[in-house]
Amino acid sequence: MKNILERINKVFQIVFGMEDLVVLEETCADDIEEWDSLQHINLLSMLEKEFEIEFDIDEIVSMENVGDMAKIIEGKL
Amino acid sequence: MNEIYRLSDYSYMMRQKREEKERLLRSKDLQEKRIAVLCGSTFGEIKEFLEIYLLHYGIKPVFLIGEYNRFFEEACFSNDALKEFAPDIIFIHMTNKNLLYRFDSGDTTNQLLMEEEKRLMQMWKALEEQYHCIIIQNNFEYFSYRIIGNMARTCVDGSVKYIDDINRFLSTYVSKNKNIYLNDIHFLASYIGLRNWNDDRMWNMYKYPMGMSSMPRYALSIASIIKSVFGKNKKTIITDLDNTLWGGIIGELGAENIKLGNETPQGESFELIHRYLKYLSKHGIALNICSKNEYEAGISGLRSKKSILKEEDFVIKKINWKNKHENIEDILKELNVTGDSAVFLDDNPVECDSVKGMLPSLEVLQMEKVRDFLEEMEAISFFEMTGETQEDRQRNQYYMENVERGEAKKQYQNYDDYLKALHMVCYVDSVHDTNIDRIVQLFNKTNQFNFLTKRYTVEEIKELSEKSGMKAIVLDLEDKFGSNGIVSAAIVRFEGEEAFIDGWVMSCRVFERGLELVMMELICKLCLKQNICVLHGYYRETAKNKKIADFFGNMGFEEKSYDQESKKKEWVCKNIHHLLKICKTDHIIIKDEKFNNGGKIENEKYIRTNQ
Repeated sequence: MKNILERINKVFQIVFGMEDLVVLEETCADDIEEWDSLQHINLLSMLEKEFEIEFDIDEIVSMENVGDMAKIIEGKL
Repeated sequence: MNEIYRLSDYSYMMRQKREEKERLLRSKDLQEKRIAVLCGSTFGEIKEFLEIYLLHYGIKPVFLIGEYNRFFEEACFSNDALKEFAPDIIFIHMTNKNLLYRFDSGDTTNQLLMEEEKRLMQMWKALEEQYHCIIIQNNFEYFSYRIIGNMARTCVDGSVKYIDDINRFLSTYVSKNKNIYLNDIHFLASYIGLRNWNDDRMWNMYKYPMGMSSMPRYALSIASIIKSVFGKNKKTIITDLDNTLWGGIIGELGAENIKLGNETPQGESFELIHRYLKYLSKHGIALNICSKNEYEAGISGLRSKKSILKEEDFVIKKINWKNKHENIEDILKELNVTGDSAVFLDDNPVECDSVKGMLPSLEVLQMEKVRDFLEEMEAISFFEMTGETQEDRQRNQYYMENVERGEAKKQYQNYDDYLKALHMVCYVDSVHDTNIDRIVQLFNKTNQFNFLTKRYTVEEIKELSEKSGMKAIVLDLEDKFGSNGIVSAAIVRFEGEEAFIDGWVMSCRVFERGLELVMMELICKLCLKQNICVLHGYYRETAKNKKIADFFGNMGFEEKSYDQESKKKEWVCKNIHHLLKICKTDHIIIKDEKFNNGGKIENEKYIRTNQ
């Protein structure tokens, strides 16, 4: 899980262009100013590339924070 | 690998886009262009990608993005925002998601198709009439579902047939109308693969018409059209021989043993390169050779029966042991083109590196595998063709004749003698339907002898030339080696007792021939005829037109003002009689009957050659 979070963190850094960005399990869209719907799509597609997975619509709709993302990804690996 | 090509990979693009944008925004000589996007679906991230590619081509885009699925309304009905924005380009972001066709449309498909065509035409007409700018329209990709299998292509309500029909309509329309360009996403989606292109989740959730991974290539395709329209295409190729045009070292193997032609698999792939380059050459891209070889050895490859490319397909052949960058510099000089309009091909990474180091503006492509090389060439679309004029098809002939002229020059001790011996005849003309494409192209592609580097559309030139108080002068230059075609144009505006040279371009093919004096002479005569006493000229500095920075000064104009921000200088001449005297040339015969009779004389050249 820790490893997954680290990799997720890396993707966040790339998508938001912030090298020192640190995300926690409870981090959600309200915590990062740039995290709008457009960036959310970028995030998901970059996570799909990083983990070589594909999210279902149900999963995407249910994601509330980084922890949710990590759990869904873990279930797919 | 070319940076634009690298950036066509989605993951790489996502990683690099911020840094890249910042870096590119710092580059000099960015040309601002206003691009309006009318949306059939979400444009979102595609805008970011498009911006980066355009910046790479020296174009700084300013965007106006329309509302989701309002393209038709925004195009057809009064639209103040768009009017005020004054776009240079309108891109219509439509895909098959915006077609009227539905799988349950049933027997009404034919009617639907007609309605579809009507709707598209209505939209284009409305845009053309209101905005007089360039329109880029997508054609349509296949749906990823056919439902009834193969018969979807023949059945009256089949989805494949529908797309074929609407695309055929689009191609026909675009080929017959100026100022509208087709972005072929039908090809692009097939190339990427419909399974990869289409992503239902993206559509269902975000109304993106394609998957994220396809977006860079989509944006790149749009950017290719835009850069081509604004004259940023490459014009010439300089290629190595050994292991680039054939397999093996000809100096060691001999012409009979090189890998070329359909007898060997490697030879087969080099044959493809030959056909590829031959096709480019037919479309006016000048081919040249730069190879380290004995001349006789190198040329024997092209003389060989197996070689599709022949000696005469190349304009300049530098086959010797000199440094490649020196040879390339000579080639550029002889063609009179700048480094950024050339592509250099070589298999040797060391050569590629050293050439790139010495000539950073040159595009260097290393040929490792033929397949990868062609994929790269395709993706970047160096030679994107948007409209082709007769001059394009003949350009290679012009280059060849220029090389002959260069040879002739060497025979004369004195440059004036050489000019006289060229027996130049200059035909003066105004703008009309048959030459307007070439004139627009001249304004848009000329960088060196271009005083304002203002780019025009066909519509704009047409409007300018029909306006009262405006006069466009078009020159066609012929000499004993052949016709150079239309090579210079100027736009002069008359206001009261003053005249203004609003635009003036001359092709680099005819530099150092004194043709600029002829143009000046014609302008002077026009002025005197209209009792003009003051003539204004402008110069806006760019990276490429420094050659003519002092042109007006040298002609006796006085500097009037300089605007720091736009780098625009205004010059003024108050003694037009004196100016006319300076411009008199005796080595070019001027034929201006056509011009003076308002174009009434029938094609004089035609009459002359038939005598």
